[in-house]
Amino acid sequence: MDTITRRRFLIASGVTAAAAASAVGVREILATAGDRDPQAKTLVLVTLYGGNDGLNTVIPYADPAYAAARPDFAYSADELLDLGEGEALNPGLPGLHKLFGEKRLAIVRGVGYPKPNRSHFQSMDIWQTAQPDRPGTTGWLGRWLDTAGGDPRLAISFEPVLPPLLAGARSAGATVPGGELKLPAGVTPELLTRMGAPVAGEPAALARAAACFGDLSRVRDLVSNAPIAEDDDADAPATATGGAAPPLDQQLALVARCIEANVATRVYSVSLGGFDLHADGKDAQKSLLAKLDKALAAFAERMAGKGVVVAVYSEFGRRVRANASDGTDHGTASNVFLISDSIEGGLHGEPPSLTDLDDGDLKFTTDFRDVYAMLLADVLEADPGQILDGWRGRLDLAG
Amino acid sequence: MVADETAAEKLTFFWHGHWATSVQKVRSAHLMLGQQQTFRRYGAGPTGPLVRAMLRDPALIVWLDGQKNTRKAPNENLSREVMELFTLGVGEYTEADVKAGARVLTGWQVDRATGQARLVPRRHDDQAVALLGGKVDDVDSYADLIVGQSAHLPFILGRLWARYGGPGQAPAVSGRDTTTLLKGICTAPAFAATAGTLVKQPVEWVVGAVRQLGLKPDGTEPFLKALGQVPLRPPSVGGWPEGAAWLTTSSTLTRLRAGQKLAAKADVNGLAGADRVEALADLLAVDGWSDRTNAVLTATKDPRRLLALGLASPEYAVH
Repeated sequence: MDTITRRRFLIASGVTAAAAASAVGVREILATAGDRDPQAKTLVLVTLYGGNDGLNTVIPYADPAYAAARPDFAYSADELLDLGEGEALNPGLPGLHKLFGEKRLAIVRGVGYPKPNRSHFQSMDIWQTAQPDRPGTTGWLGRWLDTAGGDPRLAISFEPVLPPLLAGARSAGATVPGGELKLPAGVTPELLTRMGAPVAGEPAALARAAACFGDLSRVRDLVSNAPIAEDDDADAPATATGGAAPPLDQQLALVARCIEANVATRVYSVSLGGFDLHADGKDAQKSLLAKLDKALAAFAERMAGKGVVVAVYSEFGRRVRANASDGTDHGTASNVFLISDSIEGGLHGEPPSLTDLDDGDLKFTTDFRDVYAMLLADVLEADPGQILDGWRGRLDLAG
Repeated sequence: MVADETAAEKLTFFWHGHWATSVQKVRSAHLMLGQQQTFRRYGAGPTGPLVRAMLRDPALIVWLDGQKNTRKAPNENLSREVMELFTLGVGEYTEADVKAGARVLTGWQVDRATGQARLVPRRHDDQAVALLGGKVDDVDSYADLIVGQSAHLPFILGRLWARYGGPGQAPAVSGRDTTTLLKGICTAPAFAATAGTLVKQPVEWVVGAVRQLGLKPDGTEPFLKALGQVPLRPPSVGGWPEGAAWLTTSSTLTRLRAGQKLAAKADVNGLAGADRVEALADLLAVDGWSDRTNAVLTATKDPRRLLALGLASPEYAVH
C-alpha cells in the first residue's frame, strides 16, 4: 500500500473511510490535526506478556551448558538461524534474522534488574513503572508524557484497557482499540469539553473519569474507522498470562498507518500475550515467535527510513533448566530487541553465564533502565534522569 | 443479570475475578460452569472449604497446567499462583514453598468426559512435604495450612476491599468467613469515605444499568467487549485490572454509545418533569451530580438524551 499523506487521509476520513479501511484490511485509521517535526522519531514498544523464554529465543547453542539444561528443547544445527558468537535465533524468527543481517536489529542480552521478582504481575509492574525497588502508580512512558505536556495524543495504545506504562501522574495516554472513535449522534466536542471540566476537590477517580472526556475530544480529531472483527477465538489460545489485545499484526498495521499519516503521536504501545509456557513449550513458543516475527518484519519493512525505533521486551525469561512437562518455569534476565535503521545493529550486552546462576536463574548484565534511558534520550529527546528517578546509566550501542 | 440474589451474584463475580480462569484455555463450558457453582456453594462461607474445593477444581487445574504436574516432573504454575494470587500474596511465601507446593499438587488429572478431577497415584508424590513452616501430605492439609497462615485473611480482606470499598488500605475487620468480612467492610467508618473513589468494573456498569432501567441483558455483550471485560475471559490469571485503568478515552466513548443504546430501550417517563435531573440521580443511584455534570444535564431537555448522558457521566463511572 502506498503512503497515505495527511491530506489524502483527511479526505478518506469521511463517509468512505470505513469501506476503504476494510478493503485494505486495516480496521482503523488515525489522522492528526497537528503537524510534527519531521525529524522527530517514534518509539513503538512491544510488550510480550507471560515471560518469553529468552534462552530459546536467542539460543546459546555453542555453550554445552545449554544442551545439558534443555535436552528436549534443542533445535538441530541446520534449523538454527546463526548470529555469530555461538548464538542463534529461534527458527521461528527468519524475518528478524534478515534484519539482523542488515544491521537493523540490535539484541541486548542479559537485561534485567536487581533482586528479580518471579511473579508475572510484580515483574511486569516493575518493567512498566521502571521502579524495581517499589513499583509506584505511574508508568515510565506516562511520566514521559507528563514532562512532554500531557497531550494524550502523544502516547497511544491499541488495547481497550490502559497499560500501566502509559499512566502518568497528571496525564495518561489514549486508548484507541479497534472500535470506532466516531462520536455518537448528538454528542459534540463542545459537550465533551463541558463533561470533562475539572471540579475542585473531587476524588481522583472521578477527576480521571471527567478528564477522559477532554482527552477524547482531543484524540477524536485523529480517528475514524470500522469496527474490528468479533473473532478472538481465531487467536492463539490463551495461556494464563496474556494480553487482551487485538492480534499484533493488526495493532502494528494501525501504528504504520498512523506514522505514514505523520500524526503527532511519539509513542505506541502494542502487545502480544501467551508466552507463559510451563508445559510443552518448544513448539508453542516457536509458533508464537513466528507470529511476532511476521508482524515485526512486515512493520520494519514498511517503516524503513521513517525514524521508527521498535523495542521488544517481556517481564522475565525462563529458568535455565527445563521442567519435566517440556516447559519452563519463571526466570529472570532476558533479551531486549531493538529494531531500527537508525541504531547500531548486532549483539550487545554481556550474555549471562549459564553456569554461574542465581538459584537456577540467569544473573542480569544490563539494567533495564539503561535501555529505557537510551530510548528516552535518543528517540524521545527527553531527560532520562527526570523520568527514571535520577537513574544515570545509559545503554551505548556504539560502544 | 436476571438474578434475584444480587449480593450473592456480585460475590460470585468477585471470586471469578479472584481465581481468574479463562474459557479460552479451558475450552469447556461444563468445567467453567462447575467452577462458578463452586463459588456459589462456598463463596459466602469460611475460606477453608473454598480453597479445598478450588485446589481440585477441574477448570483451574487445566488453566494452570495441573494436568502436567507429576511426581517425575513437577510444574510450579498452579502452586505459585495459589499462594501469590489466591490465598497469601507476594512476599508471604518463599521460592522453596512454591516448589514444595507443586509436589503436593502432583498427580491431579481432569477427566474431560466426566468433568471430574481425580488423583492418579502413580503420578503423585506421596511423600509428606515441609512448607510454610508446617508439614502436609495431601491437598486438603495443604489448603488447611494455607488458610491458617496469618497472612491469609488480611490478604482476602484486602482483595475484598479493593473491589467493594476503594483504593488504599482496608480497615481492620476480623472474621473467618467472607460474609462476616464483607459486613465488616460495609459497616466500617472508612467505607462511607470511599464515595466516588471506586471505579466501576465494566460488568458492574452494564449490569447495574440494565437492572436500574429494568431491561433485559440482551445485546449488551458488545459493550462488555469494547470496555475490555468479558465474563469467563479474564485477560490473565491476575484477573481484571482495577481503578483508573478502566477510565480511558475508548471506554468513555463506549459509555456514551452504550448509554444511548440502553436509553433507547428504557422507560423514560419519569425523566420528563422539572425535577428530571434529581429523578435521574435517583434512578441511577448517584449520590449527587457535580456542578459540571449538573450544568450539562440541566441543559438537556430530551429524556432519552438525558438518560444517555447520565449513564455516560463521570459520576456514574464510579461508586
